[in-house]
Amino acid sequence: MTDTAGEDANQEIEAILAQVDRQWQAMGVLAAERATMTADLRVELTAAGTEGVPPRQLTGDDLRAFARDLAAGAQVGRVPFEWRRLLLGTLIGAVPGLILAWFVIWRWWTVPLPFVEDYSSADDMIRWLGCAAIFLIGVLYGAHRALRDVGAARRRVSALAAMLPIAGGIAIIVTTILASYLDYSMHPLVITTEAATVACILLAATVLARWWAVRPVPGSASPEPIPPRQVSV
Amino acid sequence: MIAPGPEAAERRTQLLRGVLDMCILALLDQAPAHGYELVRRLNAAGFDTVGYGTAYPLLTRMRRLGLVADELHASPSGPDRKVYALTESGRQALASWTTEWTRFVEMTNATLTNIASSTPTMEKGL
Repeated sequence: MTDTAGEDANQEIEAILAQVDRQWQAMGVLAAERATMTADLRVELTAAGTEGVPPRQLTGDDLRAFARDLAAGAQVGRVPFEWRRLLLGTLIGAVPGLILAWFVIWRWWTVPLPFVEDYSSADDMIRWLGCAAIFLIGVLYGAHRALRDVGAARRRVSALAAMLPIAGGIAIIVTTILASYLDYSMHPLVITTEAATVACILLAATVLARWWAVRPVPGSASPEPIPPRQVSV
Repeated sequence: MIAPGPEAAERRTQLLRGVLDMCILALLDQAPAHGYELVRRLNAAGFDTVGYGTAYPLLTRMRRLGLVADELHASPSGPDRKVYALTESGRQALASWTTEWTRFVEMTNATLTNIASSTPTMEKGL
């Protein structure tokens, strides 16, 4: 095999491995398991390549099915009930935050800002930010509690911490534009649409945070040894 | 007589699913092999529909179960290869599965033979 052909084959193998790894990632396969399987598959495909067997001939064209079969065959560990737990944790975390925010900011607390001329708008902004902060802390605490025994939980919560304020900012801009376009209507349908828009944006942020948290990290590919399980026959 | 169709193919797939791990163990018991060499041997043994995409996940599973162990062997013509061989647990499992399979085949054959020999009588009776 010439050097160029060898390079092409290696590139093809790496492309296949990347695609297979993405599928495993989407399936919630643990990072250490993915690293092990990827390393094993690389050895297999490379060895076959030196005998002139193209990697696609081994894996077939449906890489997603190949990845699924391999993960099922290997009986790999997956993140258990991750979505349900994450969503439940964030929702439960959000409820006390919202209630607390309502009582603390709207009912019991007025912010004295004598040095600000436009008192009402600054006061409003402080209230909004206070609400958002309490809500955010509640959501993050809920997510942290829900995922405390899951691998990379800290990364997931950190990713959420970064994503939610951005999502909140986007949600405010989008709903403001929407409200302005609809002439600040208080019609239930408009309010529902605005609430749904905010929910969708927050959901997208959670999805992005999850994807971001489970992305491959350079240097983390060293596989942990997995002890073989004995079966009684 | 019912012509072989998709149902026959499905039945063959299901039968294959039930015995493929046993056949892989048997082939590795004859001689250790690397992944695609094992597929070649399976194809040569008559399992011509079995591809790497089927055999490799199974091999990975059996390695997890401790039935098969892998070892990196240096290759003179290229990169290292992962060669799979049976473990002691694998040998025990193969012996047990072979006994079970033989018993199952005998039972099935006996049942089919009984049906074949009793069918004309039933027709006469009807």
